[in-house]
Amino acid sequence: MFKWLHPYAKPEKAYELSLSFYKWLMPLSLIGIFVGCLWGLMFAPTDYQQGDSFRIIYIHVPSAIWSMGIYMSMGIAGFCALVWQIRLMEISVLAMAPIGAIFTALALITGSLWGKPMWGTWWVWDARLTSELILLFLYLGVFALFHSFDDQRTGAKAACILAVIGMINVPIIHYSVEWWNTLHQGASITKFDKPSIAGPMLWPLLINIFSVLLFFIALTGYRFATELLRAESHRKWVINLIK
Amino acid sequence: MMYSQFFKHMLQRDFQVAATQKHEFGLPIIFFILVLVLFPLSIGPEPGLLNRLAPAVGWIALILAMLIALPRMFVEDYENGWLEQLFLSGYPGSLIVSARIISFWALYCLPLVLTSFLLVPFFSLEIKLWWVLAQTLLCGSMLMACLGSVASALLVASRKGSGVMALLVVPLLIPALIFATATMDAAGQNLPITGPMFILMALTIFALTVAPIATAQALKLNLG
Amino acid sequence: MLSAKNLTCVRNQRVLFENLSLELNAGQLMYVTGPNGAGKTTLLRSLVGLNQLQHGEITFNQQNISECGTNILFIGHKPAINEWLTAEQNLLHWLSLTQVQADSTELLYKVGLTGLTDVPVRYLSAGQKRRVALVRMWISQAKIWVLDEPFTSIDHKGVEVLTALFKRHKENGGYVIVTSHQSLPESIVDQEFKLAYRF
Repeated sequence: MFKWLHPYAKPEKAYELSLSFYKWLMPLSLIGIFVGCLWGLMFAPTDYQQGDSFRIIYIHVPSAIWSMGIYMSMGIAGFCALVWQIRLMEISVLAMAPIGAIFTALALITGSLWGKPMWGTWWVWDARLTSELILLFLYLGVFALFHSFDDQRTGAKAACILAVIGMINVPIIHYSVEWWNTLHQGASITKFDKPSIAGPMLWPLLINIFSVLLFFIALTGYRFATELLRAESHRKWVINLIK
Repeated sequence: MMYSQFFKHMLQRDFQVAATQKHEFGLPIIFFILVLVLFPLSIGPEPGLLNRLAPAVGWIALILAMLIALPRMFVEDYENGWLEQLFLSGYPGSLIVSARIISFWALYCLPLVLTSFLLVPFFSLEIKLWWVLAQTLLCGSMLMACLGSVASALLVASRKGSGVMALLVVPLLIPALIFATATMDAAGQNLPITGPMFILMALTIFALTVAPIATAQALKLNLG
Repeated sequence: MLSAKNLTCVRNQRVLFENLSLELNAGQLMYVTGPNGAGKTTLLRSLVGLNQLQHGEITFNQQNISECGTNILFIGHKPAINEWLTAEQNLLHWLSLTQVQADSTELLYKVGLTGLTDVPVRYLSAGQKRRVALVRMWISQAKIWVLDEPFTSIDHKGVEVLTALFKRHKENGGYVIVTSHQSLPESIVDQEFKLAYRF
């Protein structure tokens, strides 16, 4: 059933495939993000409650969604790397980690920018912001662990183990933080219900969510290709390629 | 191969080694007490406030004290080569690791939980509440020993020490902290504590089943 | 028969060895030589299954090496001795790990540690510590001995005793793989395996 996948276990093939991902998806995702942002920022109607400041969701929501998604895919890739001893999967974990961390940071920054006009402070212990913050620490842990090894291969495997442990924990953390937040709600500032977002506002958001996913895949493809070249730098196909 | 006999022998060896270097075990306890002392000194000795903070302080002090102890979990046996002999001996890695987790818990965590009784005089905590706190600490420290064993095994060969350790362990521990403080809140208001307490126990049991496998993997990685 | 096929090991982006194969029959001793950094220790650790290899497989009588736990005696640079415990305690732990019945006092007498049995190992000299580790060869029931620099800090007489042990083990149909910077007497070496330093 998965026979067609087998050639891609070879580094050369995987290199070509990931670069072609980058080549095709990068322009597509950039166009998508451009259209989504333009539509969202210029043409979508103003929210009657939050005014124009709601428009930050066109950046905040996609990055927040995919920051969790990337950690999940890192965990799955790490699991495959450990169980089936697939070298390329280890590299893909390393390729994804910084992108995920940047997305998380972006979600945090845009979240607190949104919070300033809405809540009057840069930071509130809102459930979603808190679990994003913890997620950022999980990402930083993966980096810190990878860099505390001299041997890159060992470091990559260690990072995989941590990614799997983190993947198991991310839902637990997410739901426990949400529960914690409702428990202490008496003290917190009035929280907005998840607004049922109307059509003309929703479409650009969906476009952006999808394009950011493509953007992530394209970036991962590029980073994967570079990491692969570095890891295989002693192999013949890399030497031939660079010549 | 008798697994239970092997397990018992591993525990015996750990306790025997511990008996030769007793001073090692005092340090986390002293650290724990120091953290307890710092709180009244920094926020003032007002009993009502201290009383409200006591469970949180107990938990924070436990986490900090454990972070001091955790890096030692495997380092000695890794450096003297005993660990590689254990892994060559053909016994399952997760068995080796769970023996170590249990001996670590008995040697480091149990004394810390007992030391937390100091919250009663220092923070004027009611004994009844302390008893609930001690239960959450017992559970939580087991959970932390499990998570910490993975981190400790991952970092066993690197000299980076406890900075990275904190980064690896603390985020994963947050659910336990949340449910433990929820248990304490419920106990403080005379509500039934079983809900959050059971979730905490479930998390601990889950960690006990998964962590040894991950730890054994991490140790094998560092041996090779 | 112990055989290794197409072993490749890469460390820190450096190829230590590539497509390396070896075979050892019962009753043979292999002497692994090579300059510092050539990968002798890595090769030995790979042979017992401690190192994860990039490629290759190692089998003992058609069985994967990782399933032969009790058939391997590995003594590496690290002595597997707890410095805070006494020589006798260390030995007893070893006995119960390998499930061998033996008289610990007598064994320690044999390696010349009489009277030092209840002293913590950290007070012993380097050579004496080494002896505590090497006791394992007397009681070993393993077929395959993999020894990394066993002669380090062992005196002249000790070396003779060890070579006699190798001979006995060979006669019993055992396998010995040794690295050493001291030369071994040619009479007991069956195969010499040279590792070159690669850049």
